[in-house]
Amino acid sequence: MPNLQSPHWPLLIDIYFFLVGLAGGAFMAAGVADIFGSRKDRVVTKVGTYLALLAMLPGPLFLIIDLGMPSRFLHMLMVPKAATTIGMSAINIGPFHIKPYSAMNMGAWALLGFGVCAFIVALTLYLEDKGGTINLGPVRGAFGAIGVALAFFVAAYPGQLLSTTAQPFWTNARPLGALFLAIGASTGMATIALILSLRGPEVSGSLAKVRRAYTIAVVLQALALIAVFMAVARGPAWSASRAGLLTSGSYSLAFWVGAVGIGLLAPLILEVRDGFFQGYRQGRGMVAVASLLILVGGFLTKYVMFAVGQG
Amino acid sequence: MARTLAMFTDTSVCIGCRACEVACKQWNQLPAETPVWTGGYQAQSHFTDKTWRHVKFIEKKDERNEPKWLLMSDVCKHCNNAGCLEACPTGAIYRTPFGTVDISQDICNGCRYCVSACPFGVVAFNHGTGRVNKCTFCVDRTSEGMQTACAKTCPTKSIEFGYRDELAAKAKKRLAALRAQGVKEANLYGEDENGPLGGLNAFFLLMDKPEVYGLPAEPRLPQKPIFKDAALSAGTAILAGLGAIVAFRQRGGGDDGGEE
Amino acid sequence: GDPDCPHTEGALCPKGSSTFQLSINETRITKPLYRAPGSDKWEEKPLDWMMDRIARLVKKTRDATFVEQEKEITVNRCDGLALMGSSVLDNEENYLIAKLGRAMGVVYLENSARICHSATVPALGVTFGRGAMTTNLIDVEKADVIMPTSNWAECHPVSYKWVMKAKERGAKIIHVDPRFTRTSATADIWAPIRSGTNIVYFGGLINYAIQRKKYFHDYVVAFTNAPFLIDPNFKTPTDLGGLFTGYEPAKRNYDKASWRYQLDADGNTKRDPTLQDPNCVFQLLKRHYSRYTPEMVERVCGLPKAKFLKVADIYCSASGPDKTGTISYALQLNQSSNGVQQIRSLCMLQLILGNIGRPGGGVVALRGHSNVQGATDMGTLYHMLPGYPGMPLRDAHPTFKDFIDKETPKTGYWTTKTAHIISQLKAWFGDAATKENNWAYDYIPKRASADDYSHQHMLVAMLKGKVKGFICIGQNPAVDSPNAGMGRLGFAKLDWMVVQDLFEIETAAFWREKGVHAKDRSVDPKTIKTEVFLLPGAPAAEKDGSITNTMRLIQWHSKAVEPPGDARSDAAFFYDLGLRLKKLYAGSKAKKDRPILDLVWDYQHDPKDRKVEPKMELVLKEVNGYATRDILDKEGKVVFKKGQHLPGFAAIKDDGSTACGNWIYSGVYPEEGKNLAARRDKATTPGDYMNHNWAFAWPANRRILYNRCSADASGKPWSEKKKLIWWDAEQKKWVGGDVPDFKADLAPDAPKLKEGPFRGLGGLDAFIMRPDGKGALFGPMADGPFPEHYEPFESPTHNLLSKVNNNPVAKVWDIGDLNKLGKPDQYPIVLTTYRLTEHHAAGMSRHVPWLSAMFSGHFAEISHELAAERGIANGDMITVSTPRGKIHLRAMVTERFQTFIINGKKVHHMGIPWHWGWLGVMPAAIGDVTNDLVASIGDPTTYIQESKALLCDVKKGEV
Ligand SMILES: Nc1nc2c(c(=O)[nH]1)N[C@H]1C(S)=C(S)[C@@H](COP(=O)(O)OP(=O)(O)OC[C@H]3O[C@@H](n4cnc5c(=O)[nH]c(N)nc54)[C@H](O)[C@@H]3O)O[C@H]1N2
Ligand SMILES: Nc1nc2c(c(=O)[nH]1)N[C@H]1C(S)=C(S)[C@@H](COP(=O)(O)OP(=O)(O)OC[C@H]3O[C@@H](n4cnc5c(=O)[nH]c(N)nc54)[C@H](O)[C@@H]3O)O[C@H]1N2
Ligand code: SF4
Ligand code: SF4
Ligand code: SF4
Ligand code: SF4
Ligand code: SF4
Ligand SMILES: [Mo]
Repeated sequence: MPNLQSPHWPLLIDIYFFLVGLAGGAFMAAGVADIFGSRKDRVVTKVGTYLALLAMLPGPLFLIIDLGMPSRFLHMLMVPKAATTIGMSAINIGPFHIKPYSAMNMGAWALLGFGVCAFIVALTLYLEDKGGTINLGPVRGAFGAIGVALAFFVAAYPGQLLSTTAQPFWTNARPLGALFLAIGASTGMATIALILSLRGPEVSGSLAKVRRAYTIAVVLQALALIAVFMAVARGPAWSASRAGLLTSGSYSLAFWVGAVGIGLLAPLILEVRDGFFQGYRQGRGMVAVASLLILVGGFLTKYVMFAVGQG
Repeated sequence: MARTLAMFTDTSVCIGCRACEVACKQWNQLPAETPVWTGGYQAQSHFTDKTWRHVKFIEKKDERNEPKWLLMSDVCKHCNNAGCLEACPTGAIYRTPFGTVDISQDICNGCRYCVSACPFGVVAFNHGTGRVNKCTFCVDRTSEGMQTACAKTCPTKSIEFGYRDELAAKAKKRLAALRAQGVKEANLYGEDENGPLGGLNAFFLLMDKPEVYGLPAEPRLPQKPIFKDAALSAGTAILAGLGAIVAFRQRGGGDDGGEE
Repeated sequence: GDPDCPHTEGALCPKGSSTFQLSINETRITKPLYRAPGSDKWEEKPLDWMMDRIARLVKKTRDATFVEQEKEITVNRCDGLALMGSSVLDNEENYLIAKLGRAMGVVYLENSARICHSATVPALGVTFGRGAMTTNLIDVEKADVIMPTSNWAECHPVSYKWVMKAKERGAKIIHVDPRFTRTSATADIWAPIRSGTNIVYFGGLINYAIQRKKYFHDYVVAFTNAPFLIDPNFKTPTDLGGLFTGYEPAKRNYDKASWRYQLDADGNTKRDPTLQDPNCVFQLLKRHYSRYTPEMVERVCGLPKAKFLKVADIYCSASGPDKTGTISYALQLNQSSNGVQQIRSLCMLQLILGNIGRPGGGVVALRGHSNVQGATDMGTLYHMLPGYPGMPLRDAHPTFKDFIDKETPKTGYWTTKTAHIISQLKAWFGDAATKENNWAYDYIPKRASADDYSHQHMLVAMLKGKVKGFICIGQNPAVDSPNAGMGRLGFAKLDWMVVQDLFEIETAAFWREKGVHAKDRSVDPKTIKTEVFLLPGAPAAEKDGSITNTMRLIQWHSKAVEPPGDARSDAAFFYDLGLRLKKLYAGSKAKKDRPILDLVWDYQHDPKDRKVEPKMELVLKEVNGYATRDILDKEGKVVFKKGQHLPGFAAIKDDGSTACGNWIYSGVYPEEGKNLAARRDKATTPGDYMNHNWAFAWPANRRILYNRCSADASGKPWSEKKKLIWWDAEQKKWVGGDVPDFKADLAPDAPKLKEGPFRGLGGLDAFIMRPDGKGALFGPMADGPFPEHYEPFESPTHNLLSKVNNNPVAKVWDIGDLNKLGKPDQYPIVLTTYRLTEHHAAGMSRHVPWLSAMFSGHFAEISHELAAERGIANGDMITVSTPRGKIHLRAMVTERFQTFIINGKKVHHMGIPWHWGWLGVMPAAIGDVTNDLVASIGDPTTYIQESKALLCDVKKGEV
């Protein structure tokens, strides 16, 4: 095992990773519902958008709190140095810099962009509801489209941030980005479902659609998790052996029960039973349960993936 | 860009005196830190924010069952492809005109991403300043044309400072000489510019396998595959998106259901 | 480090790199501190108040304990005062201490060299003629085989660069040490031997060289006393069961009557150049070491025969015309009840292999503190005066005539000794020293006995209440002394103690000792009545002066920064004290006070300087020597004007016309404004690899001593590869790469000279300081003319070579329970004590944060096997005990100590670095005093302690 140093990132970062993922997923669903859904599905768009905005807002705050020098959070985006000296294919734009190879730098930009889009989209929805006269459709369309792209980005980048470190497990867990994105999608939509399940029957149509969507996300999540393990297994022993912490070590309970049991199996069983065989006859209570399972499982999955790398 | 500078640490003549460690603290005015019991002569198990040169004492027995004590003065490798530098979101970590890697204390915001991204565990977080530290390659000396403090003080010239090309040639000669003397286990680490990380500007002559010294056998630049990873993520994104689209395009189904 | 320095090339060891924290250090004391009798705290006092009180106490104690006459002999001795100079002080400072101390009548006068390298001086002195390292460190690079028997890499890291350079060139390195150290890590072969068995190891090599005819025959015949015939009555331990001829059990002493050469009718020594005569030194040597077989080495040292033979074969190959080998040693040979003989055995090996006086050869006596060599040269040692004349003994030297007759040899260069002594007395007592009063010989104190006054005697004398006042400068005896716990009890019996140091060291703070782990060591200040003065000192960087390093190189350093606060040089302290004593004694009619009143004591300090710093160049000038009046040649032409510097020791006269403080340093300051110690030129002539223009090496800037040996009998170099100096027939003088350590124009075939300073020496007498001009294989010492192995006083086995277990003439102090010896049944483990690169001796490093932080605390190194036997895990706290005391520390379980098989039985061996004490800048710097374990035992010649080989027991936990 080579001598390495752990960044010792706190739970706070973990929570942030979870929330931006959730925000991304929710905004994505909102966008899709807006464009492809029926008129009734506007509720999904609204819930999704507001939810995304709410979930991402504390993000920057958490990040800044965790910095050794919070006052310098803007340095994430600005540096008085020539791009040529600060990394591969880095570029300066005025006082700003972009470092494609630095997941954290790109993430900071994406978070900023995503925040703006989510805010504007939310604003358009709000104004429309206020019964405004001007047609905000095109604006929302534009920012919605960009927003969705960025939504995927913010959901995925924390995973890639970890897989591009030198830490054991992480450094070989190449599909972590994919996994985090899938979790973002599943948990984002599960939260929407949870909220809808508290509404009246008028939303049940949309609810069913959301459920179908998140079920697919959960399946992707399962596949990504398997991919992660396959990737790590190919890594050197000192890195691969860390997987043991999950399968049999200190995190095995959280992993098997939390990530696998609660996060994947339980919701899938429920959804498949009800969805495919019973045409979504189950009551909203069950929906609430399923989405809660997905949320808890999703969080724990990210939690163990995060923990295993820091040892 | 000026001719690349380097340090060549030849562990075959290191006597583990730790003068380099102290000289580094003296030049950079790093405070003494509380030593920890490591089971042997080391006062710290690895680099810290205050220990930028770190002498390792590795005890083992050789094939003839005689004791063997590997002595190595470790330091930031000043990688040509540097994980810390690529990771740094603020650009605090930069490549000096001499090809070495340094951290601007006035820019670093203490995010610790570099700490996680160095394949050699060099960068360390300083809780006092809220920033990270590592070997600066004595920029304040080298830019004045002086050699690094650790190299200057080394009694046996185990640490040599100079131009990379010259030192690399020297290292190859030294290796050949040792091999000629029958020292099979001797090997160069990081001297090859076509090797891992495009070569290290602080490279080593080791007397055993890199792993024995706690060095990665073949260090990788962690960020290298980032776009491959991104493709994977994008793929997943598309599937998730399609899934949602399919779900929302779907007519009927839940539409009529749902009443109690 | 100065990058231009040819010896260091600018490199430093960790201690050197951290000197910054010696000066810039918040724990450094800068104000005088006073501790009143019974008090439990320090009080700050003005410097003048302190000095006034100290001077009065010195006078009081001197007057109360002064002995003027004994057995109708003027002895002018003051037994109540003890003085400890130090080998960290400059030459000039030590010289002033010796000068003032002797004038005060002090005989308890020592410096750390006593417990460091004291055995080196007689061992090298008797064997080669001078008590100093024979070679030059740069020259080590020229060796074909290097055998460090000390921990060279850890204790002399900077000079070790030359070993590494030699290694890079392909030289073989053999490290001899019971413990695998950082030196072993760089060696080709590690040869572990049990502590204290070095004579068997070297004796084994000598035997091997002789039996296998590996010795350098022509060299041995030409330059050693091998061919000399010895009195037929002389017998060696081979024939007398472990003793030499003449042992007197009652006196624990030898009658040396038969330990002498056979003389022919006209008084010349008889020789047999064929080395066949059974009474010739060579045959006696051969017979003596015939018992030191490889099997014996295995049984006694625990070094497997096969490995020994491998080592012997490699080392003995470094011999003959075109090969040389060098050996380092330091404490492992010195600190033993056989100290002198252990060193002699090494020297003799080098002599028979022809490795003295030749490039890449020599005996590398690695000295200790920055200035052990200089402090020794300057005679802050109980047994000698500056420049190596002995310190007069009451019974042997009642009169000046006795002294000269017994001290000055009849042949060899030391026939000049009389002149040196007279010039020294002139330097000290000026016009008061006249031919009529025998140059004031009476002023010099006379020792009552040869068996007294050494470091250990001093501590016992304190314990017994004989010594009442103690001045300790630059040394920490509370930690560095053997049986240190006993020593600290002695301090408590003193009326007063003066310490000058950079830090509050354990010696000054003995009255508030805290047992760190071994709590029962703590003391109650109220019970201690000693009045203590702690004065702030200044390290080398803060004063002018010279230091003489291990290769006799005298290097001047100038003040770089002002000492902070009231801190001042040690020279200033003694100069100030001397001036005050002169005032206090002014007008005294008493004869006993003449030495102080007549003492030449004017070093022209600036009257406005409250610190009274003397002009150090003036001290160096006095050391170098000057004319006391105009000196005229035959034609009556003035050759030296009054006060003019002497160009070298050749100019020293015995008629009082010259004054010279220390003859061997003569030439270092040949003219006003030409201080050669301050010279810093690198090699000016090409090929001058020893850089003769860098500073000045005594004597006469010779870098390799006895270099006449680098040429064969006919004066030609032994080989092109190993040439140094040779005889140039045209020019009729010795020429080459070094200053000849020989009469420059004495032809190789010249017969013995009849007169002049070289009288008695001929063209082959390369060892000019020896009466016979030869390297001494046969060299009478207190315990025999050949080194014979005796076990350390604490040993796991009886002596396998003879019935005589321990050195029959060595000293074991009888102080009851305070000095009990351990037996193997209760104390089965062999213990040795040593240093670490990062720490400095008795504690300087413990006041330097960077160094203190290099280890997590006091520890003992033990083998896995011993650990398993005692259920000890790496990192456990353990208790190490001897009959003298016990300490608590951490166990470092390591491969680097291994179990020895001694005479077929398993013997555990462990070691403890001895640097720790109860004061320091951080918890890691604080620990029990290792020396509380060591016994009060002394080598018969120098009374150096046995701190490298003792017995102990180990238990898990703090018990
Ligand atoms: N068990 C065991 N005991 C040993 C030894 C061993 O090997 N084993 N080794 C022995 C040997 S070789 C030696 S030399 C002694 C060493 O023992 P010490 O000589 O007592 O060791 P140091 O701690 O170096 O003491 C030097 C002191 O001088 C102070 N000092 C430094 N420079 C100056 C100066 O310019 N002026 C003044 N006034 N003070 C100054 C330092 O602060 C320090 O306190 O220990 C001996 N004791
Ligand atoms: N870093 C550092 N360097 C120093 C000093 C210091 O305090 N710290 N002190 C200086 C002083 S004062 C001195 S005198 C010198 C001392 O220099 P050294 O004598 O080299 O130092 P030590 O560590 O006391 O002892 C050397 C070795 O002797 C080994 N030994 C014990 N018994 C025997 C034996 O019977 N035979 C053999 N062959 N080896 C044996 C010990 O294991 C130890 O490794 O160092 C000087 N240099
Ligand atoms: S200074 Fe040189 S010899 Fe000493 S530890 Fe450092 S690298 Fe090794
Ligand atoms: S060794 Fe680590 S810290 Fe040093 S340059 Fe390479 S990646 Fe950066
Ligand atoms: S901690 Fe400082 S140097 Fe390291 S990555 Fe963050 S900003 Fe850059
Ligand atoms: S180069 Fe300078 S900063 Fe780096 S380790 Fe050496 S001394 Fe320290
Ligand atoms: S302590 Fe000794 S070895 Fe170290 S730098 Fe000073 S003189 Fe050189
Ligand atoms: Mo010493």
